[in-house]
Amino acid sequence: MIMRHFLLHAGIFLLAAVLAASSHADRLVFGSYRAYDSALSEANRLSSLLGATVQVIDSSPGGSHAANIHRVVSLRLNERDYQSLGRRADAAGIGFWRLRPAPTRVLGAPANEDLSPVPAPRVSVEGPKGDINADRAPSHNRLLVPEMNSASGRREGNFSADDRGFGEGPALEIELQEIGEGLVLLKLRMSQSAPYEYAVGRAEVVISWPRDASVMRLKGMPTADSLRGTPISSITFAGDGQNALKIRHMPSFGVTIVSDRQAADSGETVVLKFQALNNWTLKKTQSTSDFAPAPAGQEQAMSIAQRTNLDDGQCQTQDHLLLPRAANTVCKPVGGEFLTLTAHTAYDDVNSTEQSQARQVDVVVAERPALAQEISPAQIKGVVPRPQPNEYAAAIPVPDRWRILQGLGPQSKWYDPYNQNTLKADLPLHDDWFFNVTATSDTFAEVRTVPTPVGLQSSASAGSNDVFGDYEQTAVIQNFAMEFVYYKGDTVFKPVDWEFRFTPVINLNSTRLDEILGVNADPGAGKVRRKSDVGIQSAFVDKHLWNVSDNYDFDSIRVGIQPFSSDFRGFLFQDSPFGVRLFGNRFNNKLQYNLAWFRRLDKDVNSGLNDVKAGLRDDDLLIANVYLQDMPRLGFFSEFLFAYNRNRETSTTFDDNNFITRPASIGLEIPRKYDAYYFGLGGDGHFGRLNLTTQFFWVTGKEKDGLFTGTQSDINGLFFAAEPSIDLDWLRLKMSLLYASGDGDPYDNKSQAFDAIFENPIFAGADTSYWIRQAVPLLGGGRVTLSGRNGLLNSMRSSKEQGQSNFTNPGLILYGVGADADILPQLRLALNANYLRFEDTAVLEVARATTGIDDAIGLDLSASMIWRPLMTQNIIVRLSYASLIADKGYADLYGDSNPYSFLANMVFTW
Amino acid sequence: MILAGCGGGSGSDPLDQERNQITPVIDCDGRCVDGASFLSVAEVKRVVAQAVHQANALSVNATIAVVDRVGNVLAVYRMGPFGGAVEITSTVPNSVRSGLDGVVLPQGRDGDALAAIAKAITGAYLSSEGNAFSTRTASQIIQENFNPRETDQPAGPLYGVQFSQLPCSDFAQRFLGAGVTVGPHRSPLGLAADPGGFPLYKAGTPIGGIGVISDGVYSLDKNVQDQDVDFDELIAYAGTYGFEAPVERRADRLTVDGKTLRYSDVMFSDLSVAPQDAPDLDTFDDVSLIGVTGYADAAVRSGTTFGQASSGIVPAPAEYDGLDAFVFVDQSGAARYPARDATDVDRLGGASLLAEEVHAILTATLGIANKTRAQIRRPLETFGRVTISIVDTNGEIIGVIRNLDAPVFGSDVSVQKARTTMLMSATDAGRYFSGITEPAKYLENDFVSVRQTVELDDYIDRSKALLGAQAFENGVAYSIRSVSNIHRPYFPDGLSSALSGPLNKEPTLGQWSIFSTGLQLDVSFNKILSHVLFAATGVGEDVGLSCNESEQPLRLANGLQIFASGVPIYRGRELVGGLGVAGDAPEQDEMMAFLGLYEAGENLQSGLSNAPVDLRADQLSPDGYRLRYVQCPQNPFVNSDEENVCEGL
Repeated sequence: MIMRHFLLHAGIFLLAAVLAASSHADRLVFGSYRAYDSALSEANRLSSLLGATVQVIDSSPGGSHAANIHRVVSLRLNERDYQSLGRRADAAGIGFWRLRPAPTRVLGAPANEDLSPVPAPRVSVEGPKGDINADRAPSHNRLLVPEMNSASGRREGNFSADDRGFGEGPALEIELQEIGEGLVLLKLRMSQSAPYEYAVGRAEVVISWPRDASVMRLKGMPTADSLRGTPISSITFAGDGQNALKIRHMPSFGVTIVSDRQAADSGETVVLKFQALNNWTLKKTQSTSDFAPAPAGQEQAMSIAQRTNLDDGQCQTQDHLLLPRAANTVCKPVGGEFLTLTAHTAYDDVNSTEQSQARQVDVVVAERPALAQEISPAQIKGVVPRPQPNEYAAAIPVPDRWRILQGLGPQSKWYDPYNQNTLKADLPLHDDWFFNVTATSDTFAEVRTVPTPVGLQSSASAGSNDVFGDYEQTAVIQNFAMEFVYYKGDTVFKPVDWEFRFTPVINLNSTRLDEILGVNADPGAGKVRRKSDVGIQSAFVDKHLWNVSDNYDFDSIRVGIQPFSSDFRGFLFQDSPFGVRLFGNRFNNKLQYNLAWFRRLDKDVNSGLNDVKAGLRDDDLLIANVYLQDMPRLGFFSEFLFAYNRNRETSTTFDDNNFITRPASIGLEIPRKYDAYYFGLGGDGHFGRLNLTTQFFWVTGKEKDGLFTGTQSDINGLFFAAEPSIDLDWLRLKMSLLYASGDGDPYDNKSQAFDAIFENPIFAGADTSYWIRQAVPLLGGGRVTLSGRNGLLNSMRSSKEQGQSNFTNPGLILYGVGADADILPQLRLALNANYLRFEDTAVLEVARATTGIDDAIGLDLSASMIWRPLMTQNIIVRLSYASLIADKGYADLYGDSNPYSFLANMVFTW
Repeated sequence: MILAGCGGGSGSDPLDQERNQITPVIDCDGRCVDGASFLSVAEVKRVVAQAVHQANALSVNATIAVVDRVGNVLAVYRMGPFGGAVEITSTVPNSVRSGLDGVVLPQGRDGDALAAIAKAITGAYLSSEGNAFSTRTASQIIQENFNPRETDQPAGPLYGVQFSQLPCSDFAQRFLGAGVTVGPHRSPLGLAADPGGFPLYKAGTPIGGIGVISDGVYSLDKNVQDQDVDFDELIAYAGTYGFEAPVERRADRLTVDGKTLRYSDVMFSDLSVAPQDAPDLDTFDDVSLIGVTGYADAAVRSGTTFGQASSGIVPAPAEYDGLDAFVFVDQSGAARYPARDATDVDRLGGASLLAEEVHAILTATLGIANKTRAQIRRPLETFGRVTISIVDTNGEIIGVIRNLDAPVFGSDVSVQKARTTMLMSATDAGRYFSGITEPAKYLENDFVSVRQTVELDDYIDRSKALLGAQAFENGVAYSIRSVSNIHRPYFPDGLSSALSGPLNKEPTLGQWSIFSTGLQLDVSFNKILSHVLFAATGVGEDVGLSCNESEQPLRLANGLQIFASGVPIYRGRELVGGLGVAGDAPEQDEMMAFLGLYEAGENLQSGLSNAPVDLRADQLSPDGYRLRYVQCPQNPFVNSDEENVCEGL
């Protein structure tokens, strides 16, 4: 039936399909009317027929209904409504097409409810000028050109733009038909009512769309072979910007499609269909082969050539024949380029009036959906204007798709990361191998007060008669990190096949204390420590093993020093250990998993970087975790984790400052071994507007040598953390809750405190908070830190970097509130207030040989300001201030003072 | 459940208990001692029998000594026909032939008994109702680093305590030929670090100690990280059965700077026979009760009751009421060291200390002690229990007072400290040591030939090289802590890359060990060694009542002590005496002395106080390493979060 239908409408079909820009607030367009009343009546009819609101869009100023066109549409449809309404319309035989919000809107075009920012395609059909006078009510989805309806007789030869031949020509119908998701066919066809008596002198179809220069990549053109047997000998790009199609059949002017009189009655149809693929790929998908060449002298010619563009944003097609008013309306707001297809048909044989033809050429010009970028007006300023079609270079062969742009614009400099740059993996180094260099400078300057002991053997100054000395400290830390990545793969969709990564970090650090014996075990080292260090933070090979689904679900294996985080917030383990990790995903990325063995590297205590010279620690971590998307509800990720930490570090080890690190200088200070098994359950996501992050851990296992008992001890610790938050426009309000169990009796054979493996928590203000940022030493109770640097837990290790886990500690309870305020796009202010308590101070009391240490640590108040002048991560400046309003427990340990820290941090990334 | 090895037994056998608490827990905090707090003859025999039983099981001959809390030797038993040789050595085989290190007391003499007595006294003296320390504990806290093997950390808090309770001490009491007498008594080898000495307890209160030697080596444990199987310790530990220290009071329940102290590497469950199965002592063959020259006759005696006149420690007179004050009495019950006027009035004139001033200092210091948080006592957060001694510039003891439960070792040590700080701060300190012309003579093990002589002047010369030519003449006030800074195996203390302090022996020359500390030992060496030979052989004469051969023997009569705490006493800018405190951790004791003296001075308004700030040794920064004067502890007072209480004083 469809074939028959096409037969009846011999002519030329040009089909344009466009993937629209966005996915929400679709509208269905049922037709356009010149007369408002007609439109309204149609809208009412459709409303009742379809049981949906169908309305008339009136773009007239002040609702005067004076506009040239009134569209009958149904607005603001979500996907489900659209499907439902579409089905009903189909069932009722009502044609419609679907429009989606135009990117022009965010580009600054008028944003009223008119269809003026019509999404691609914009359609105008241009014919010989001068005969545009039709004022007929069109059918709801069909613009019938009246002149052609009334045409009779015949026309000879080619018509120039000046010709007025259409008055007697056949009806030319234009039909817009939605043929799929975001795909619109534009068909032009001649009515059977005017067989061969006419010749269309010239008709132009103008299809335009908002288009980004970057999607002007065409590939996969039909070859001569694939066109063999069709009336078309070639299809080529035309125009300066390669933005028109030229379809050629005969070597005469334009493209000639030869009619086949014999085949005409049999309903022969030639269909060339090009469907949208990525990046403007055109592909011939279907063609009938029984389209015989036209006999000599009987030719139908069609040429599609570029039509030059409109510089002033006005359509030049407003008065053309075929789509007089609509064209005008459509073209009005368009300021950009157009792809112009010129269809030029000609019939040599003007006598063949009795012969009917059925020629149908479907060309789908597909466009990749324009990205609905959220672009603010400020960002538009200074942006290079998008290239005009006539600025496009002529077709030049390029070695690969990444170099297409090179033919178009200036070459970027090697130091310019924002344009195509081989050092940034925008271009392959060779074949499919890319190279990426990232250079980061990270500068910390810190002024802090931390309880600082007077040196026992020697002191900085005379008259230091007590334990607690002057406690002001300053630290300056400079990290230069270089990351080199060499990988094989596609840059866009596919996981890389191979990846080699190497990340050396150069660290310079300087710390000044008011007392000696803090920076080194040698009192002669004075109050200042200046060190430099080079650490290797990653050095791995990643092999993409295989894909397991069409969606690129995959398995990969990664061997070497590699960053890894065990959970959402780094509560348990976040480090760059050496190891082997098998990871991948399933079910269209709804499940992600890791299966890994790591052996931790020793670290430099001053820089915190991996100390490759010191080698691997006798500490193994087996970890298996799985992340499930939309579990238990849409928008929420859940993680299930199991980790086994096996530690056998029984040799005595000292750090770079000559302080003992293993075993920790507390308790029996004997070599410890432990087997800790962690079971974790975490979640991250949102329930409606409520964001929620949760983490739960249970650690069990055995340590061979309890910290204070020296006998085998059962590990049994609990950890729970939660951070609910809610976003109010630019403001995020959040709460933080954390519980880490403490040990209530250091002398029983139960180690009931929780300790992580290597925590780096992003929680409760993270390193802007005093307690997390600062390493607070437990003075007089062992040379250990109560809570480590960049750590939350009161784990009483020698140092977070080098110490062993300690399951005999006072634990932590934290509850707090915070706010992140995006005051400006460039400026974020974060405020946090956390109240901290020990879970049980029994361990502290034993270590300090005292009793009555209160649980209450204090109120940790912090504020930080993050300024990103470029609104990117390339320049980040952060200032933060934190103060601990000491409560009774802190005073019991360190005396009555409120420590603070001020931090300035600058990160520059290239 | 772990069953006792050879003991077999049922599941309810006490040996199955995890930490071997046999006797009922009595939560003593320093006042439990009563009329029953002594070792009876039967109990002494029971202790020895249990030890012998264990030694038999191990197939070794042991020599076992039992003492009471004030050091009366109650019995010495020897298994086998004669005493084995005893080598005093820090290394096996000996590699440091210096001082007492490498001395071998020959077999057939009583060297074994001397070692056993020293170990028993150590167990008894270092312990109290608040803390039970063994010789293993002592070993841990007297080494060059604390903990041993934690390099670059300061020496043990009691570095040097091994040379206290010296046999030449004028303070320590002596065996009078028969029976028990008032204490505290001397120890033939000072305090011991060789595992195998434990305190004995009854009803939560220490009543004595047991010391055992079976291996012929009188040494120390340099590695506290491992678990030794030491026969001496096994045997002695077996002996404590039924008299064992309360688990809650043992050293391994106490921390110093967060580090747990060691008590024993063995438990009852490690014993190869159950001690309670030991037969009566008299049924053993080849076990003989021996007499030891200068310490015991061949008899088993019951111990004195601590806190009663027979022990030499009695409640102080009414003037000290409310201070938990006790004083020392002699055999006749007369107070030995009541506060009295100083004897140096001829030199100092009006600056000389008066009795009421001594009394005021003792009272104030004891007052501070009574609110000081003890570091090495349980229950936690109890008061420090110490002995406080004051000497004048002649070294005369002009006042001593103590708490009831202060560990006994602190009595002699506090006097040592008072004298040391007084002497080292004196302008004639250098001359004092230079004036001792008799060098320390290290003998070959024939005890005749001289291996090496050490001139005490050498230490002064080395000190002057570090501290300046005027060192020990220029009136710099040296607290014991200041002295300790320069009398350590390393200067600065603990730093293994450094050379020794000038008063100390040099480790890199192979001269140093805990048996050869330096000036501390050498100033008393000849007296100590001659006494050991006398006691071991019974030949010759016992030492007199001073450990040195100076023209002013009293000034350092019971030996030099080199672990804090003690401060010199000044009137204005004039040195008038020394104040020593001992019994708890050095920082605690030091604060008591420093604050006690300060407080007394404030009360008296007679110019008495600590040394003027500009005279204190912490003004010195030799080689860029500033000396310390005092170090008051963290969280100094009970039930208070006050900190930095010594600041600015």
